[in-house]
Amino acid sequence: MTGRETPAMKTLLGYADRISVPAGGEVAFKISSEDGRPYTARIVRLIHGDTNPAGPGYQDAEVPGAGWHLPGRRQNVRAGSCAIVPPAHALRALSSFTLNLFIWPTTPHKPDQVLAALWDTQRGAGFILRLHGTAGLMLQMGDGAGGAADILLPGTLLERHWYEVRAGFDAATRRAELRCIATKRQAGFAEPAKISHAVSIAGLGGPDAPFIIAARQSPDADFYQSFYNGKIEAPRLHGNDASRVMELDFSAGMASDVVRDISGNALHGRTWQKPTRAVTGHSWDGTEINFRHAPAQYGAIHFHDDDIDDAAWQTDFTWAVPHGLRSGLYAAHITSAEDEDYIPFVVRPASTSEAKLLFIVPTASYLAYANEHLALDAAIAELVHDHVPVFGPNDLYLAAHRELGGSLYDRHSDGSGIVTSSRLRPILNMRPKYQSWLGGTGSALWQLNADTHLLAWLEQVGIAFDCISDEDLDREGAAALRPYRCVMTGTHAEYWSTNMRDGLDRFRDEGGRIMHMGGNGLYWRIAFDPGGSGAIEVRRCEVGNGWITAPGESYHAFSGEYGGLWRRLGRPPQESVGVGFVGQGFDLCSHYRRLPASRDPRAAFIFAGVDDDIIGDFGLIGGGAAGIELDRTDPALGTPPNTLILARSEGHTANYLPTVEELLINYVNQAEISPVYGEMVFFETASGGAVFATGSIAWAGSLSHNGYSNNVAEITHNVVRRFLDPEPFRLPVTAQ
Amino acid sequence: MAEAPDASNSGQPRYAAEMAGAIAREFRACPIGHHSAALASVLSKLRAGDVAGKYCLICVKPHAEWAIGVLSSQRGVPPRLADNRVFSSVEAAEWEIFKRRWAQAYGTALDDDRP
Repeated sequence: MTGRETPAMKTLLGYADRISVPAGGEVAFKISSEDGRPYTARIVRLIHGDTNPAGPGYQDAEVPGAGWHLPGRRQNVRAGSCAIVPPAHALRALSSFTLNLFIWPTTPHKPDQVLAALWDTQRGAGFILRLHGTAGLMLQMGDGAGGAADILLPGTLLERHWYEVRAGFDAATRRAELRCIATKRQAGFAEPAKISHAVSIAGLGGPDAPFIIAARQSPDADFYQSFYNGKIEAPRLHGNDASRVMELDFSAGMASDVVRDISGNALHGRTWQKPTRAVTGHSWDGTEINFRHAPAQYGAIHFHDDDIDDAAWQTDFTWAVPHGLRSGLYAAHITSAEDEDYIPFVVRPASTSEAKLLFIVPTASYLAYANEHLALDAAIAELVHDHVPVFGPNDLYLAAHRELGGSLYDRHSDGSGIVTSSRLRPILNMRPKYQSWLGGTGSALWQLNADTHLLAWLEQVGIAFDCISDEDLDREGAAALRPYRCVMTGTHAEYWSTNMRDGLDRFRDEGGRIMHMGGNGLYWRIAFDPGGSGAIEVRRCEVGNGWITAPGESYHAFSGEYGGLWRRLGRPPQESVGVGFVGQGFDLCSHYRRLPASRDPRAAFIFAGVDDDIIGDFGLIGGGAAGIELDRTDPALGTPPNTLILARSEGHTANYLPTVEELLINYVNQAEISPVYGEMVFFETASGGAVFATGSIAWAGSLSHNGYSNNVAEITHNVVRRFLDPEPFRLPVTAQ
Repeated sequence: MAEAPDASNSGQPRYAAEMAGAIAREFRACPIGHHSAALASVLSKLRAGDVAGKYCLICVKPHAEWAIGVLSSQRGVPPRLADNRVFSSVEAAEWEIFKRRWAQAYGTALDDDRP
């Protein structure tokens, strides 16, 4: 490294069309070679993604016969959302028009934000209505024969205030007009502002173009540009003789990308790049907070100039999963002279699989954190972690390329929270070898790469296992789990849809066994896109993280369900797995100390061969098995009464603080008086099943210590062996 | 200019200097982990502040080399390197950032050998 250059930027990026592939299915890979260089690709089964020299090191297993040499090409990600109504005769026939709409700008000072455009870029025909920063509202028109006219309504709109805007042109009088009035009297433009001009054109030239809300076509008509930030509601277009041409009702079909025309002319359209729907409109008065109960008050869409749902890249190669290939977490490993990348995906088991252990790859949680920018954007990140955030090449690329979109913790460029996350884009932190500033000291792993600690251990001890993704569990529920005796969750399986929770609970209640191997699991409710794109939505209400929902916007557009923490939805994680999130710290991890319940005969199988009182005072994640995010029991939140609290963590640093929902009021030295700790638990279920939970994200990072010979690995092995044994568990007498 | 870290408020400069030295030595010995209340208080001051110009670390070689970066606070503008120095441990880089912030906040330089 010389001069003031940062380390070499990434030059290879990619994503797959699916996160989970059935046996015999096909997966398509979409690659961008930023410098156009050729690259090679191979398919690998991921074993251990952690490159820390203090551990086993990176390991994968190549799939024979799955290799390619490919020419490189650059593919771009083009972010920004809009709504598009395809070209139509009724639009081409316009010579006069009036367009009414409500707007709620969030970056009113930004220049060149198109509110609506019917603009034939080839011929210069039609009109564009734009918010032009501090200049004001501008209506630009063209007659398709070289004639053009602009009118400007000067003034600056206030941020996050509703305005009713009207733009019009009368071909008979050759006058154009612009009006803007705030819907609340105290806002800027409170007095009706209006301008009317004679213009030189006599018509709109029959624009052969789509009608676009919140953007316009680029000059070569192959994409969109001039994106608007903010809400738009109820665009109504009237034509010659004030006839109704189009009335878009954004309150219809909010779970979809469909935009419905209620004028009777069927000029329906679609949204592009998933702008946020189910948001409050200009008439929302707070009397109703559920959009399904008052759709008329939720007729707005919030558009963002950085929305990204589908990068829509071309496919560079496809791979058909060979029949008989073992299930697991796989990746396309692409390599050029300059760079490498991994594109992970799950291969689901064949129906002939005999594995009785299932690892649920927490892909929803991977998506929730996809491309997060917290430490780049939030000044408090270093304080939250009590050490200086460390960035690697992938983070630097994300910092420079906002078009790849953020995580569900980040904010849009206008400051509003990002509520949906898609896998149809390169996700640079969902990678083996990736180190995260969130992952404490040591290996510093988070989500997918941290989960490879579990997969590597399973390979090491030779226990057969299958994998499915959260997307599969959401779609299939308990049916996806029933072939197995035991399911294992990841290190931080935090985001769960209703179907996912129903599936896990049903599996448990039918006698299944659960090894809950992480911390802060089953925490936030999400909803999957009913359209099947794999995108997830979160509404961070009541308590936030990174951002909090705006008033009245706490119901998911995808599902109609109220959002927030499962704890606040009547289904705390303690009900399902005995423990739930209580606090976190992001510097060092610590150990557990065994409690008397660990000597209970019911727990004898767990501690067979383990005499130590101190468990996990070692590990690649923060140096201990207990840490990062910690869970514990709470009978008031549903921990079953027969739960054995086997061990409790202790000795955490002052960086470990309670989560906000644990506090009704704060006080000086709160965390010192009531320190945060995690608990390792076990309980049997009435149907012969059982649950074991570690209560800690860091647990998996200790498995490989001392050549996989240590008390964390021994306990885990003891549990999995018994949980795979068909012999039913029996409730203790006192719990029957 | 922030007030010098003088936990005693005694107005005795020598005592304040000794306290400051103890705090700095404690940080150097253990940049990440359990900290005394006095060091935690100083760290809270040094680590607060806006994103613009805030120090970060840039991993140059995984598990081997780190450099000090400076956050831009502008979307799309990645952190820049503060200078050409490369550190062989996160702890060494943390100490360098601590010294720079200390000098900026309190107007006194910490000595690498005898803080």
